[in-house]
Amino acid sequence: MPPRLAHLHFGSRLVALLLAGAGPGLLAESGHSVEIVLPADTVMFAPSSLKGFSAAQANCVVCHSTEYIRSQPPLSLAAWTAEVKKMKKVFGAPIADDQVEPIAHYLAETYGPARAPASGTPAPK
Amino acid sequence: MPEPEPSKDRMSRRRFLATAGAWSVSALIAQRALSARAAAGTVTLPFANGERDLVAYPQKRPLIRLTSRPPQLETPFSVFNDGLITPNDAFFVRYHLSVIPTSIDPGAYRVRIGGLVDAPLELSLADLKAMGDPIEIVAVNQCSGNSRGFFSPRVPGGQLGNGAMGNARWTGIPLKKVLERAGLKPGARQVTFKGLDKAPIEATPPFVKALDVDHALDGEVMIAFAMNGADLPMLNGFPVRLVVPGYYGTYWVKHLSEIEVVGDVFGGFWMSTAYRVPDNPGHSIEPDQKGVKTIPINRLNVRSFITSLGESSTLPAGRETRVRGIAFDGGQGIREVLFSSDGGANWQGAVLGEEAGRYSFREWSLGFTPPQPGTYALRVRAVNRVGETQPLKPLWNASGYMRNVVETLTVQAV
Repeated sequence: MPPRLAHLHFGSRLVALLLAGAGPGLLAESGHSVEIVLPADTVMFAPSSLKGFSAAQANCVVCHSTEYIRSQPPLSLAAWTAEVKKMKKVFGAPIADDQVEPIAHYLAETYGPARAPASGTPAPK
Repeated sequence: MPEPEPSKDRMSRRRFLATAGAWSVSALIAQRALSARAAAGTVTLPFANGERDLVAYPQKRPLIRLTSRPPQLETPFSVFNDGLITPNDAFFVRYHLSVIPTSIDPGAYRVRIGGLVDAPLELSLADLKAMGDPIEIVAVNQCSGNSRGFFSPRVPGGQLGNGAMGNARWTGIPLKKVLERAGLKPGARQVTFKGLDKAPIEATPPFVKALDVDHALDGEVMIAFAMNGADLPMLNGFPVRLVVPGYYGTYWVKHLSEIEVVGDVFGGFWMSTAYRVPDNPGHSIEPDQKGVKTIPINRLNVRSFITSLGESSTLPAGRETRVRGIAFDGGQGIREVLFSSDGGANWQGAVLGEEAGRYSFREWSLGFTPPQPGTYALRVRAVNRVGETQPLKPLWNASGYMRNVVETLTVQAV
């Protein structure tokens, strides 16, 4: 079992504290800052010659990592278009109007029904 | 403060007796040892595009990563067989917006209470703890979209297996105390809650949730500062989060920093558009149905699971195996759990474990002797104290919320 790490600030020094053997305790009462370091976001969009590839790279990952897309069920072009429009209209993604269709097309081609099934089985009935 | 729950101890001991429950634990360890990458291994959830990395985040053991930014982590299901309380380092993580706090000075932390109140407050953690005796409630926090990946037809959204839930002992100050200190003005209708997490762009609706005033004043909704006797992990809302016993996790605002009393039904996106369910008893529609009236998602429905066996477990034919699992609901409490070994043709009552509170996971168990070698479709169905139960066929809604069908686990007797 790898140790669970939390970083505590003591003055200006950053100290890593091993919590694994420390047992339950209320760190907050010690008055020290708690700091965590998140793993890097390393999952990339699947490369493509489609026009929407670079637009997806420029827009989608501003707010979220690509696993959001990769883990979706094989959505149709209509469903991907609805998702891209939702990101633009509801969540305020700065996607230019003329980029909505290319992004949706790239996503549907890359992450839609045509995607080669890596593994996994259909959802149970 | 009440210390170890008897049922938890009992389940911990039984862990070592439940040989069938060990399959997933050993698989996890094997995968971990094989990998030198950040990922401790991979799992494949049983639906299309279900490949996930197991990754240990700060203060967490390796969990099933749905997304890395913001972090969304699911609890491996085997954890639910280890005990009724979900350990802090195994508890699921769900954020909506990706600018999340990673460094917090608890000494400088403040919770602000404003809006329709006589005296706006700005509370330090010490102020909060000085407001009265803390209360403790064991309660399930379950994501509205837990099990979304099993919806058929599939729906967009976070594609979760069954691990976006957990049961913890929460310690905090009743929200009622804080609201009474501030003093509600006449006309107060709802209370809104916002945390430190925010979106990278201004145009995204801030994550703000609301409860009716009567609910906020029920004495159970709390500002929790501890979870299972320890600080909240950062990714579970350090240093304080809202705990709304019996309600879906969407209301359990993490890193709680702003509370506002409002005179209307709050109209923010995350209440008026998102997290809504069809306004009918099963909160369901037909997949092609449109224009159904909706309401904000609210109480957990009844669910139950077998935890001591997994898909493709094998049992000895002609010998008794103790089968056990968990059941829970939105706060009525579980009245009975029924078990079937023939796909639902015949049912028998299971033995319920002690109740750690009406919002907690409840243990059930029973001895099952497969009469002969072969395949057995095991099912479990819970009933709560007002007679609500689980549907035999899955209900469906477009957002993938509130799945609670009677699950079927196929095992082999040899």
